[in-house]
Amino acid sequence: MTWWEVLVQQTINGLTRGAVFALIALGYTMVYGIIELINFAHGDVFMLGLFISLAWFTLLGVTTPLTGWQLVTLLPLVFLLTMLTTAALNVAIDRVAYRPLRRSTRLAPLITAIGVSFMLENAALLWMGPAPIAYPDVFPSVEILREWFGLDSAIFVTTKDVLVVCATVPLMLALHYFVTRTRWGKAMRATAQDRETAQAMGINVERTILVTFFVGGALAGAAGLIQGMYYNIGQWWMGYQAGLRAFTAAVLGGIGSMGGAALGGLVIGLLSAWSDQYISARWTNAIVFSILILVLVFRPHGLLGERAADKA
Amino acid sequence: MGRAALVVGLLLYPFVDRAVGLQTVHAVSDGMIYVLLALGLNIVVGYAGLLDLGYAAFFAIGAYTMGLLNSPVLGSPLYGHPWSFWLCIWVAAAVSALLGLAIDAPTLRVRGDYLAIITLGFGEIIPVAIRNLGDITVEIGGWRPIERLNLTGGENGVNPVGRPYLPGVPFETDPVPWYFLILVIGAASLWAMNRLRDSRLGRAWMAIREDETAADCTGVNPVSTKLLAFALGASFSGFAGSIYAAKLQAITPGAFEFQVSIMLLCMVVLGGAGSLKGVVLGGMLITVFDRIVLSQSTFLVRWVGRTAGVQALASSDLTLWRWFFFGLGLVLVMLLRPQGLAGSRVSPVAAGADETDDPIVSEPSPSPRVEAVPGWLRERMAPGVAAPEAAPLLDVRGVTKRFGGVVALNEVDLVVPPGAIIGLIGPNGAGKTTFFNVVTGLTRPDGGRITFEGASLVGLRPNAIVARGIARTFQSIRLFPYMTVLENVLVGEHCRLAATVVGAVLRPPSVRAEESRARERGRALLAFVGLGGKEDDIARNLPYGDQRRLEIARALATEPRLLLLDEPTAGMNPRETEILTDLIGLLRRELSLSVLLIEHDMQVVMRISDRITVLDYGTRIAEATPAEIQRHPRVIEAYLGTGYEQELAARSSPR
Amino acid sequence: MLELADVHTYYGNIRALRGLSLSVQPGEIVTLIGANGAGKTTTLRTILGTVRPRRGTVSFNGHRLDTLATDRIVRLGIAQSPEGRRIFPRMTVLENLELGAFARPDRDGIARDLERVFTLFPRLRERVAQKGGTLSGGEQQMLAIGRALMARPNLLLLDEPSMGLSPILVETIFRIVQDINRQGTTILLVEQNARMALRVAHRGYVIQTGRIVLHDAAADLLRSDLVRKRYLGEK
Repeated sequence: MTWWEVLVQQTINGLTRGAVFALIALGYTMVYGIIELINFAHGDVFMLGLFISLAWFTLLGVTTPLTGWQLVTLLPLVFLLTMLTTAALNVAIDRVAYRPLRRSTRLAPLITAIGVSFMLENAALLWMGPAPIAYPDVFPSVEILREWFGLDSAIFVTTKDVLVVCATVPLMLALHYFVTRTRWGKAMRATAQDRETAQAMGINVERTILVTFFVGGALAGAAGLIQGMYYNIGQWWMGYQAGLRAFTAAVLGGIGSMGGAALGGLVIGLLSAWSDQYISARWTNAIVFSILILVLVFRPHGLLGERAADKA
Repeated sequence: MGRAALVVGLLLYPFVDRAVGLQTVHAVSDGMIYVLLALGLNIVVGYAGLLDLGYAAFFAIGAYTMGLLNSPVLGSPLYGHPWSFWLCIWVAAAVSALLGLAIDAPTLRVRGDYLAIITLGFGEIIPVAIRNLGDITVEIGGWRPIERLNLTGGENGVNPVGRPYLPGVPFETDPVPWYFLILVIGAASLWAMNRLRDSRLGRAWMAIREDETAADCTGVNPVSTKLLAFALGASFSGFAGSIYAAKLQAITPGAFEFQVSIMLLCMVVLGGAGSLKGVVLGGMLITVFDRIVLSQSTFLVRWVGRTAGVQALASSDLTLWRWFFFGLGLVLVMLLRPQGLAGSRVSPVAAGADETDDPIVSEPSPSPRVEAVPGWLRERMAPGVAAPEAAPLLDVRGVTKRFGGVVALNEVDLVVPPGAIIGLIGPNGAGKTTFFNVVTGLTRPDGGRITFEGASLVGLRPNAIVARGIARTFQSIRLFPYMTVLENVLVGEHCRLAATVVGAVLRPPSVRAEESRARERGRALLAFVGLGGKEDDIARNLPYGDQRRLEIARALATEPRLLLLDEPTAGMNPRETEILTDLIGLLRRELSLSVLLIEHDMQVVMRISDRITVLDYGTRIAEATPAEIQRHPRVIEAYLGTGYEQELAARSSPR
Repeated sequence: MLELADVHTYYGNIRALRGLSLSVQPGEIVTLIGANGAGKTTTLRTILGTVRPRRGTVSFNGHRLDTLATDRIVRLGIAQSPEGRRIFPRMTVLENLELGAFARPDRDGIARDLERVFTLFPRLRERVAQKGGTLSGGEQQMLAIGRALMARPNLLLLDEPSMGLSPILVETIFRIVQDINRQGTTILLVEQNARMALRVAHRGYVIQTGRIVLHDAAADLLRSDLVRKRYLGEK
């Protein structure tokens, strides 16, 4: 492989990784925007999304690569089912662990979020066991450059990479439309900016928060499904690492900003892929966080975050 | 009584444990190490209000300092020179404190949850670095200047770590000496922290926690105050880390992961952030639950299962459910007691804090009296009277400030002579508050000169400007809402007090005297503004008018030569307004205090101002005496309106 | 139209309203004047349901409000311009106005009312695409009132519309308040500036420590001793 092939390959890897981070980061940033909570349990919802999608595939009897009409019917169906399940789970978490603390100090729901995170991880451990779980290769993997175009290149691009793009980009566009154009999206933004006044506009604030958790959970579920199909492996503790990276992405982009979360996810994905390649995988975590710290020191509100003017 | 029983209980506990055969001393001693850590974290999170999600990093630094000094790993440059434990714990504390400073210094610009994520980042970086520094090879084009250098022991950690040596006390596998060692250190830490909290420094931390900008404008230096919190917090974990390393005899990087930071945070919040008793309680509870209850209850459940013949129970292993129960416990405790186990119940935050039931209308407080002016304030301000030359106190020339494309202040001139009351009026958005912010250092001007008593103020931080003698109040009241009335005033005195960390802990006679003098002065000041008897009320529970007066008292406590008041009568009824106007006049007459006043109530401005400056769109459009301003055509057009004259007439006719 | 009867509202253990009663008839401007902390804003919050009365009833056109959720109350035709304006700072002027009409289903009516707001406040039309947070204080006040009008309320609650405004703007705002009322909207006006409020209102209530101590026609209140001494600053 030549140096530029390595670079292109790692960039592709980074972008696919980043797309998953971005989907998770959106959930963090939306919840933070609306109730100012670092939802520690969100990474675990993503992890459960992976296992839940696996359960749906098993239930539907899919264990081998899907083809033809099955691909265009069953795959969207599993996407839908998984997203609905994790969305419901996320809503339930909010109802049980965060909603009673809405008027409490900010640290209290943070601690319950940590508690829920521990519970979800432990539940996954008991459900799936401590060993890594093989995720069946349900999506047909074809090397695009060699098999479709007949190119003899060392770069490895498969239909799975295409799947990641084809799944995340429409989801993000849909989210953008939802937030800027629809009633509930506007309600979400209004509630994030001033809850009591939003209420006085006739917005049902609790239902808006519910919608936020629903959407965030659905995105995390989609991310889990994509992760499973792409890497074919899942483990009970993976939500913690992914959640940490995704949250970092949300902060890097400017927490509360949707565009920032998407951008942050891609940046973190690229950085970690490049660092794995050019420095050493064992230093990647340190490097990702060092860059995060540098960005925040020079741009304290993240890449796209809005500066909250401190008025006297 | 209770305290004596507690001491006896703590002293007897290990022997009782041994007699009964519980074998819990190990776990309890480990728990006490975590409590010590949590106490350090409490300084950062509970007192200074800085959310730290990577505190285990300092724990690691302390432990590795001890480990590397006392038992250098093979191949490291330090190999073969073990140091004494008793020296190492101090070195570890110092190293942790220094690294605390170094790591957190870049975070000072960052606020709130961004700070949290940076600390989280460091918490991730440190274990990674420790792992990887066990095997360093640097290769530059085939040349290897460093090959397989082992600094930290890598994944294997450091093993063994030297034990403390004390004649006659065996620090071996028997946990009892360890228990007492940790008990002594823990008790000393608690004692020191208790004293810190009730000192000038503790108040500064809390002020930063409540409102950083207001604290800065009250003379508290946020940079040094926060750094001190970080350094002290880190030094405690240096202690804890080094004892941990010595007790365990071995350390590995896995012991300092994110989960440890989270566990420590849980201890602090579970107990009730800010409360020492709560932190100890929360810490012990979590450890005891984790190390003792879970393992013991497995036996219990199995026994129940066997006797009842339920196979599922008999073969169960609750330790598998460890994190599930831990998480469930956290959720339940927080849902049932959101303020923490020992936290004081602060009434739920309703946005309507301004609406209380105190009968401020039916009980008009008396006008301030000349005799009530605190003697000390008179003394401290007295030198100011001896300024007969007409040199202005505050001299602002050509100050300009732009926000993006908008010119908020355009070449504004303003002069405050000593002992004068100057009004600053103008339509909304004219730049009045921006002008205040520029003078008090919150906003840096883009151009122009600001001199106070002949020295330039440009570029100084707000707290340095307070120290020079300028105090201010805010348009929307900015008190330290969860501190008491007296504490609010004491924060005002912060920059006139001198106690250091050592002084605050050891309390030599000079510090004691300073502290009691400060309290006396604070009480006198509160009595003067009409808040006598409310010293121990929580500031946010005061009625609105009292809050305004408290803010003025806090500003006066900084011993200012110039007082900036931003709409002091906003939201007051005419009676309260009158009292406040009298107060301002009294301050000027008795203390020759100069006042710069933003005010929309024209009656007030016209009555007490010597001269008035009018701003419109950032530009000074008039500067004259009140009588001239009322007839000034541009002022009428831009600000007063034509109806104003009729209103003046309407108001004066019934008199 | 609106009726509060013996309302007691608490914040925690603090009594904010102690048996407050007042009523508003269709077509009126009624003003509620009183000192800061007397319970004016609490009264409005109780009407809108953001705090609940512990005792007493609030009714509006035959509906009991004290058990309804805020968003339902808004749908009954009550809108508020809150104290301190509370504009959504990161939304445009247009989005702010649209949110005012959040509870309404009729698109045509919304478009008509948008036009009406722009006619009342031409400044807002000029700034329609600007973010709310970048407006000046006076413009924000106009936006807050405009936003409330977008709900086409039967009853408009105005909380301290003159607060922090220059004398010249205060006059403008109060003139517009009268215009709105003439166009058929009933108004409950809470004000610190008692003189101005009593000048535009038909009737007035004086609130002290959570109770109504005086109510009368506005013109009569202007002449009453209590009001003149306490709220108009006359001697």
